[in-house]
Amino acid sequence: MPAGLAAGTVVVALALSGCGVAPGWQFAEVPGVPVSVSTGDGTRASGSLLAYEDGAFVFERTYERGEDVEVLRVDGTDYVYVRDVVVGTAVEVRDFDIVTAQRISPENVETLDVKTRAYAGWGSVIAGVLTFFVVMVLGDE
Amino acid sequence: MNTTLGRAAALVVLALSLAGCARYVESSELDASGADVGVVVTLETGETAVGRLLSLEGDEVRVELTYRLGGGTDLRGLGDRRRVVVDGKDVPGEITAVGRDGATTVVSLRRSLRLQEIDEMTFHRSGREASLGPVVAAVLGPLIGALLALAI
Repeated sequence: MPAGLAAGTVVVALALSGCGVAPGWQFAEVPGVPVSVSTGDGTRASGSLLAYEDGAFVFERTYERGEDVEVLRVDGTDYVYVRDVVVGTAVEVRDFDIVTAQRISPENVETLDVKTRAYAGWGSVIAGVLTFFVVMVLGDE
Repeated sequence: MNTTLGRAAALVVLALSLAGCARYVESSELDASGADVGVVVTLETGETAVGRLLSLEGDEVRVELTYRLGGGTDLRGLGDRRRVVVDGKDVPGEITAVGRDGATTVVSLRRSLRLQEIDEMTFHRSGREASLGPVVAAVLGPLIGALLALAI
């Protein structure tokens, strides 16, 4: 019975998942493709590639909040500074991190790798492992 | 001992089944690897089109754009001489498919663009991945974990 219930949940979830796609357009309406970018200064970062505009790629990534990271508002725009160097503009300031929009010129891009089949991440693994142990403990009792 | 080994093996299977799904593909080999990235392109000429990103290397962008015939968009010529015409101007590129979407004829055209020709371009995930991702993340991990625990 629990297995049947689980299978039913999956079927319903999969059926509903198609709702996010607009008819006639097989891609998500909201821009954003998971990528890994390495730049000329030797840094590599993972984030989301949103657009190419005004001669630069617009790339969204997160910075963990800490002593080295701060947000300063200048003329109504929130700029993100990492070790006193501006890295982009703040899209969303959250409790633990800051979503930042960065502009990268094409000349500065060394490699650009696109992440595909990104259905599940480490969050799913952790949730799966936790569920595994919870069920095992409940089973032992 | 056997139970411990079984649990360890199950956890390895669980981790591989979830984390092993994702893979990175070089932007220069998107088409060859079957990766789906959508683009909405607005050119310096003002032309706007939607389609699929085939490759992105240096300042060269290869895309497969979709043109819906009607209005100022037309398909002229026969056989190998067929060409897409938008507002009276030929669109350079290779026609890869001509099909129908309801009452509208749709033409797929592969073309190569320079970044300098592009005014704006947005990148979009595969709709299937974008809509399935949250569902899989929320449901599949706990589900596999629970089923493995019940199976041991």
